Amino acid sequence: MNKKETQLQQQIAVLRTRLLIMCAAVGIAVNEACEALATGNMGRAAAVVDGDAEINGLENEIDALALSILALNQPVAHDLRFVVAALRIVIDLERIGDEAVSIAERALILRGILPLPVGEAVAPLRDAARNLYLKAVDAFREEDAGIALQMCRNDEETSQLEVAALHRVMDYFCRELTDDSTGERLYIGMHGILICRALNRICRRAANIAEQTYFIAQGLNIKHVPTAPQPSA
Amino acid sequence: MPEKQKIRVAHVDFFYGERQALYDVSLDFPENRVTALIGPSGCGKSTFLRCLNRMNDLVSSARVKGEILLDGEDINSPRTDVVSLRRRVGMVFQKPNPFPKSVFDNVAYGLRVNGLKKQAALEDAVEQSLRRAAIFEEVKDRLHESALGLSGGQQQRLCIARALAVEPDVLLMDEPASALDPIATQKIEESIHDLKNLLTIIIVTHNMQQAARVSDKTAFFYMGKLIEYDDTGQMFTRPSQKQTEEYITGRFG
Ligand SMILES: Nc1ncnc2c1ncn2[C@@H]1O[C@H](COP(=O)(O)OP(=O)(O)OP(=O)(O)O)[C@@H](O)[C@H]1O
Ligand SMILES: [Mg+2]
Repeated sequence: MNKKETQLQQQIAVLRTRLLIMCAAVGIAVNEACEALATGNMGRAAAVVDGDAEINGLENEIDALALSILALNQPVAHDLRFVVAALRIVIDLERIGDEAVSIAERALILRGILPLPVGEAVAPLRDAARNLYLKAVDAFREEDAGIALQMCRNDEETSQLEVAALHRVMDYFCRELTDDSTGERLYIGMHGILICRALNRICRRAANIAEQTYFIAQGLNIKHVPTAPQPSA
Repeated sequence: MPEKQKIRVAHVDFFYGERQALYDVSLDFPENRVTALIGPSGCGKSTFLRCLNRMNDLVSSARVKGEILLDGEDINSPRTDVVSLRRRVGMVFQKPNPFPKSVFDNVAYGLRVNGLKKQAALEDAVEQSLRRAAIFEEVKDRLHESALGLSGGQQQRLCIARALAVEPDVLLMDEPASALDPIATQKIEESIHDLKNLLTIIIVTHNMQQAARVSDKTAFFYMGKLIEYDDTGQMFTRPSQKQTEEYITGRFG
């Protein structure tokens, strides 16, 4: 059997490229937001907030593209799975972008106090969020079902990282509640908690993307499946 | 409850003279389900379909090996009466082929051959068949006009009505909508959908979307071999064979 590139093929290639561009844009936003928080560089935080419009635009563009492929080409099999997964992934990407904005906004609010005294407390969770996101994008690009499946089993680890980070933040603001800096510590601590939340959500959304990668590759839905299947060859 | 298999096909090889057209084909057709046969031109779909009511008997060089059971009985056994087999396993072809007679007589033909003579009973049976083929409303005022005056899509539904009139258990359809416009096609697809309560349908189609729309099961043939056979939903979202994937996604040849 010869292979030929169909018009549908070309459209799917465009869809894939636009998705990868959005993945990169969101990845930069996550990275820059975290860096802004760690270093207190307000320019980087402001750039993340400004850049969100572009990410939203990509979401709409990819959404429309996927919809038109479905309507005009009626894809099946792997093609169908890819387009359907694209419609889902784009939602996760846009939300991850929103979380990056939320972290960047917190950096802007906390300007003057940065680098954040609770920075060390959230560092492991922050690193996990960045790594999981990168891994999810790599797995998607390579369509690697093995890595995707492994990522989907990271749920428990993500929860533990968040709990640990929250504990450290609480420790920080419960320390000597009577001294003069209590007010400020509560203020910072509250932001610390919200940052933990945002980072946790990035981890979860990255896992969602991995689920979709697994769906594209294997045709199986592993959402809400307690023991996910072994990827077949 | 396990599905009842209406037709069971085991290890069928088929030859036109020296040329083999089917290789070791085995599959079962569940009762009251629609099964689509798909595959590239020349892969043996029509040949296979014609094996199921022995239409290939009309080709002198044709030879079939293997077993085809209809309700457990071997249709190729010397004891099988071919006429009654074809009454039980009706067929509709790609090109509508109404007789040059009235609409009514086209549908009544098989009934009369079967000995039904009473006019009232004939009228009831004709109306029922026309309704089942989703064409009664369009022809009820011209039942006694020539069938050749109908549009292509109407002629095809008339042929379906004619096939249905003798109440077959199985209806074979070889690309029944390939020459029709989308509306006529949709009407035929709707009637296929309604008909499966009454009988078992096996349809050959080149239109992937049509196969996906009308069938419960899909069989993919390639070069005389059955490559994959599965639930249609599975076949079009997650085919297990690479060749199936390439064919249904149009990356073929
Ligand atoms: N009457 C015949 N005599 C000899 N060879 C035949 C005859 N009918 C079909 N064949 C051959 O058998 C093979 C299968 O043909 P068949 O008509 O079953 O294919 P098909 O899948 O229905 O194709 P299409 O989609 O074009 O209708 C082809 O190679 C064809 O040339
Ligand atoms: Mg044919």
